[in-house]
Amino acid sequence: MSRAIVAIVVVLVAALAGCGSYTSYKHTQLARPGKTDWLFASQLSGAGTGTADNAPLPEFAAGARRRVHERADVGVTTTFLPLGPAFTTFSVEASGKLALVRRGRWSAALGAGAGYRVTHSSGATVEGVHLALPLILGVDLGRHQLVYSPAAGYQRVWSTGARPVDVPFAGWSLGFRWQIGRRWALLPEGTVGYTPARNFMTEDSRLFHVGVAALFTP
Amino acid sequence: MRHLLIVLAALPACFYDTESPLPADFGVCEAPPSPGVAATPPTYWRDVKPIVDRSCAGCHIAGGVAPFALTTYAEVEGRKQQAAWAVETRLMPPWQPDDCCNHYRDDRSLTPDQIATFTAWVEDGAPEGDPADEPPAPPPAPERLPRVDVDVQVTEPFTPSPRVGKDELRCFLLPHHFETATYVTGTDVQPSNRRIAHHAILYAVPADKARELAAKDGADGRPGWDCYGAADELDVRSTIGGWQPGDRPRVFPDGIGAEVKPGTQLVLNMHYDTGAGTGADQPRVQLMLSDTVERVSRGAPVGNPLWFAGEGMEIAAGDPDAMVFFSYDPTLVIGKGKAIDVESVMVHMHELGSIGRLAILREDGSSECLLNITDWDFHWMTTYFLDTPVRINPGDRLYVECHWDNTAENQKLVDGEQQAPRTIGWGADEEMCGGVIGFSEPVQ
Repeated sequence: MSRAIVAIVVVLVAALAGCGSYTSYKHTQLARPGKTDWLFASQLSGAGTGTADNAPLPEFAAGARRRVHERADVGVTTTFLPLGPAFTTFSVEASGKLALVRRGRWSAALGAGAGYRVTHSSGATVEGVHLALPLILGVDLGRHQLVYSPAAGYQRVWSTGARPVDVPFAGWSLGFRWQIGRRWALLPEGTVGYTPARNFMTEDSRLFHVGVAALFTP
Repeated sequence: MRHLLIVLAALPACFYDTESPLPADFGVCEAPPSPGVAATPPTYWRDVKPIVDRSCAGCHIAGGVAPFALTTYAEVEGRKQQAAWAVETRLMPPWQPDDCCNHYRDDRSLTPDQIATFTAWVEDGAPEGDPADEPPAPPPAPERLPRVDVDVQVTEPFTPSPRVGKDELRCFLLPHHFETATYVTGTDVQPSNRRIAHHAILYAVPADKARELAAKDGADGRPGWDCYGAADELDVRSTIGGWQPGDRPRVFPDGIGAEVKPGTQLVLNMHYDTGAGTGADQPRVQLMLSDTVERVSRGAPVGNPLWFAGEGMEIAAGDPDAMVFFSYDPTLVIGKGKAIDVESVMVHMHELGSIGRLAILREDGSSECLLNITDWDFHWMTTYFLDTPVRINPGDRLYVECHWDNTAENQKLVDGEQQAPRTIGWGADEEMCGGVIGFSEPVQ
């Protein structure tokens, strides 16, 4: 496949791939009172397309979370891939998490995130806004936590000269909070999703996201 | 949350730009040339025959795709009123690019002077004149390639069926495998039945794609397969040649060739006009090859990735002028940061297209017209080769713009019935918008 077609498909993937990565690296624990959690991640996201199924888009992510209520915290996360004028992605998302219930090892929280995403490729720009609502279910395994999270959301993508594209999506993720000492945790996570939005010759699209984050609490 | 939703929903309106960046006078002649007045009344042999031979006889010959021949005085005189109307309205000869955009090879359009000459001849009673007055004809273009290295024919005759409108687009996998890497430096597509052959596009298809297409070949009990909207399955960048009525063999400029990799097969996409004639066609393809070239011919598409997704290219039922556009800097991806010299241009839409434009948006804010078609006809879509290559410099943007007329009056006829407008998007049986530029780059 030529570089030009790769570039077109990658832009499309970049525009849609965010769907799988919003409100990522989930777990039911809240940031410690008075402390800020710092998150650093690298990840791959993709969207199934007719010519380049699941072409992965690598990105980096960084974020911070802070407790604002005994049962809630809020955070900001950015993703980025700065490859110069040929290709650059950036997103920023504000999110909140509400602890719902804890019964022994089992716990549940409700998340909500909203954000903005932009992809620049060879002078062309694709932008989008999104909302994501994950339900986070965790089971503690000693100091660690196994996380299952169904999620649904909506993304609107636009670009000069095209109609805005509405991308509702739903899916689920499986993650793990692997506590390493008192300050550090590793959070591997994988997400699969689905959108009925038509995508490069296909009638719908599969979305995926895999990544691992390092979580630091001072 | 309600307020957040409202803000998010409103955000796209801040950035979603629907205004074409092209100037209002894009592609418009600064001072339209006025037709010249002939000093003496025109005659057939001296004034009209050269025009007809150059611009009409490619199709209007015995056995050609046109419904009647225009190769003798009697034939032209007998059709003079019809022909005068056709050239005055610019219905004929079919040539889609507007006059003042760029200059193309093999331009068969008529100048205002030629149109004035033809209509004046008809108004004067179509005098024949003296055969001795016929100006010397330009040297004929070669009828065949200088050398034929591959000679291959569709394996069985194919008889088109006028089931959809009056056209059928059929693809054929040709029985030739390229065993080694080489370069195609010339192509000659030869339909056997030029009464029904409207045009052809020749593709060099990679081995894995050829295997996939082989499964479709003959699956409906007829040779080849239906390939309307072939952009779905045939990459426009793999186009190595084509044919349209009046064409001669296409030979790349010296030192330039299309790269062919081992395992490649040829696919011929034939467009049949069954309203023009009947019978079977068994096209032949001849190629001229070279082991080495200095520059390799390439193609690059231009299109907005969002058109493929969701409602990104939605064309509402009844919309008289739906429009999308896109631009990007191709030097960053395909030019590796260096300038690109555009050698050929094409715009692709389907039947509802009305205006197709390809341009370069210069870094200084000006624009340069590559192709401006303001009266789109799907049936005459083709690649146009620029007389002089046009350079895209780093910082410039390659721009494509498509318009559609989706009103009831512009729907196509299927089995004699005009279809009702429906809201459509990107698809083989819906619409598409894309530009393709051809350029060449040094062999790696």
